[in-house]
Amino acid sequence: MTEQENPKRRRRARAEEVNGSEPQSPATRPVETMVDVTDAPASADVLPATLDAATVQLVDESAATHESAEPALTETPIEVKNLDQPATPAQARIDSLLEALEAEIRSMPAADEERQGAIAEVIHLIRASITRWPKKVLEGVVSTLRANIKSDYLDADFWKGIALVLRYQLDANVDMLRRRWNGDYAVDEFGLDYELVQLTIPLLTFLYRKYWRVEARGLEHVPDDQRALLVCNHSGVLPWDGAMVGAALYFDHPAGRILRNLHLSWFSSLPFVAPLLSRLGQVQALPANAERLLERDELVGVFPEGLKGVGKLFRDRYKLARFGRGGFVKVAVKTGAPIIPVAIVGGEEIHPNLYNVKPVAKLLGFPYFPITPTFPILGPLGLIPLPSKWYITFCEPIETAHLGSERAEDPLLISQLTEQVRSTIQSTILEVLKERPGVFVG
Amino acid sequence: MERRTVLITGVAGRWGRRLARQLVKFPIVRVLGLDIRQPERPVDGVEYIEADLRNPLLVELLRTEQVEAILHMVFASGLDQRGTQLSAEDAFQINVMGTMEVLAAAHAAGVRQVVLKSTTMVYGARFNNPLYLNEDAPLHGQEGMPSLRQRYEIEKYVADFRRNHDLHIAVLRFPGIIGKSGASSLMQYLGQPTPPMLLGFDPLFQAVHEADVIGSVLHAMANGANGVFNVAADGVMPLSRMIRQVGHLPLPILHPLAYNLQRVPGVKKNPLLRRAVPFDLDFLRYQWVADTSKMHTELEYTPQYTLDEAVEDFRGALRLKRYADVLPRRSLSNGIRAFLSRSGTAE
Repeated sequence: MTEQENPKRRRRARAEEVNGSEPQSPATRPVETMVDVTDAPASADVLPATLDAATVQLVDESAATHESAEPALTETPIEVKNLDQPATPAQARIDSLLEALEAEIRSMPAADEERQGAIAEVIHLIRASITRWPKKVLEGVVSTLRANIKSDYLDADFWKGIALVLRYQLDANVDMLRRRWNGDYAVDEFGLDYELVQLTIPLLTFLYRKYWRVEARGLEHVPDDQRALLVCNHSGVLPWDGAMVGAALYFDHPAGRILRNLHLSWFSSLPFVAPLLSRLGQVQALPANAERLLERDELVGVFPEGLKGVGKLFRDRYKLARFGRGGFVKVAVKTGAPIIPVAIVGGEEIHPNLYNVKPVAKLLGFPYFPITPTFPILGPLGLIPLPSKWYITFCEPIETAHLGSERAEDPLLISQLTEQVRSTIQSTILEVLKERPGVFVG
Repeated sequence: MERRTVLITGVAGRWGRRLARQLVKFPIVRVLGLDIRQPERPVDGVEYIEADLRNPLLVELLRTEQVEAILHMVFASGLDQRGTQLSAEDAFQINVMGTMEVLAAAHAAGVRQVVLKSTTMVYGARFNNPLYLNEDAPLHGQEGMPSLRQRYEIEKYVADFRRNHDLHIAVLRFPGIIGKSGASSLMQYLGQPTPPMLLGFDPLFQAVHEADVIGSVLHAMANGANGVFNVAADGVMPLSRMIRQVGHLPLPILHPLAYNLQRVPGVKKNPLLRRAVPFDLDFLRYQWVADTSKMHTELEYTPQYTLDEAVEDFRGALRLKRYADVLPRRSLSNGIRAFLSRSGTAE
């Protein structure tokens, strides 16, 4: 730690040399203002007051206690409230933590006056906002502070910035809650709630960038504002692949498009799941819904393998199941939407399905009940997917606009197109698998 | 100038009276009002006929008065005029058989146009409903409460009748009706301080403003519309949002509990519970949003109110209700109104 610090200290010392014999070290400024403040403490501004408190400490170095700091601090009304109130256990713990921290700082070598002033400011900022911050945030701040006591984190402006951001965020969240409580929010024609989608973005970003390190290829094949039908292979027991294709289009596509996945009808009968899927822009897989979405130039994602794909056994991985009855091709031809085959590699390994216990599934009313290496042995922990490396390849679109919507009733054409899409996905998967260095590396 | 005659059946009811009030504004229209009971507040300019629909003389009436259009607004949903509960059989007689008679008489008398008011609930709320149900979607109202079953019967009969007769019949299917009056099942439901919802379900809801119910019926009549049309305000919103926007709080109930409670004998008929949830529980659980594109393109009717505006209007009315003394009381002016209308006819 000290070795890290040294160059900086040296730099600062050099800076003082450059500035000349009269060092404009910040420590001198507060000493001057201190006199003013002690004369008229009531009129003192919040921040100078704390600086003074710190410098008072520095002047009589013998007292490493914080009692001498308190009188100056109590001038601000917030402080008084915090100190006088019989604090809640959590707050008392934070207070004691802060006090310990303060004492620790005071006992540090006195060479670095500037830094100590800054620390006092930080502590003041935390105290000032102690009533506004949620408990978790506070604990986090204190622990960060403890961990970084000797590093450059202790810069007043940095912390002021953080405090500001936190306050804004809190305000925004409170405002959002209030608005939603009063029903003051909007959903689109298909039930998508943009505010809720925004809330899922941190989780999706984490999964997309850090956990599965998704590599999206061929995004240029997806139009910026036109309709398109994305046909993907399905895998992974829990349908995370739909979310990741959506994330790829939202994060990495230049137009940041929203994908509307078509989901199994069964989900619409489940409590909590049904409204959640609907608010997140997922739509029940019915030809009428897909048609309506495509007519409004949306991106529609379908997984024609359905349950056969998502619930397939690990030994059958990357072997495409039957592509339904080609209903998706029919809709694409009818609306003239290009079909974009999408090959997802990596999704099969998140929950390796070793065995499907059909009787249990039947009992619970689930479509399948998988035994994976982690489920159900680890209980709910088994629901955490494995961190495989993902590749999502958007293949070249298959145009259908030139066929004309009346060809939608031509069974020969439909089965031909279905087979074409299926084989494109299968061969793309094989190509990616050929180049894939490993399941988890990359 | 020859006046054209329009017959409103069920003119003493809520919708009949409102339609009559709008229709008498047009000097070219002569309004006949038919109902089994006397109107509480007669509308000036309407010629009232107090009679039962199910009457062989109806054809005679239509012929001699040269009725061009019938607005059939008879629908008994539960209580008869004396405030007693109608038996399901009586309600069926009035609603279904009555409609059959009206259609038959209209055809026999050469009436040009019949307009019927129906509901989008006849599609039924089912988990595999498409997001937007168009007019061709299969009807599933037979599984619902008696009044919904009767709507379904009427719809089936009308579809059948349409195939064999060239009478213009416009069937307008409305979702929940919302507005100022507070007198519809949806408004009754939303007007409670804590409308019950099913925990974990929040279907998209649709509604139509009262003014648009009147407007679309008159529009369909004036344009000689023929066919079935969904008529609803533009826009959808989750049920919970609608409740909150009205200023109330949804009360979530476990759905297995609610469904099982419903099976207990007597619960379904309990007036208090029926007030709390005036429609089948499935309508709180699954989607039953109707596609209104045919209304825009074929009927060419544009609703005056969007969904947000309609809900806003209802909320305003709910708020005003708290200041009971500010609102003019109807009962005070009724006597004078009745007197005035009598002297009007004497002239």
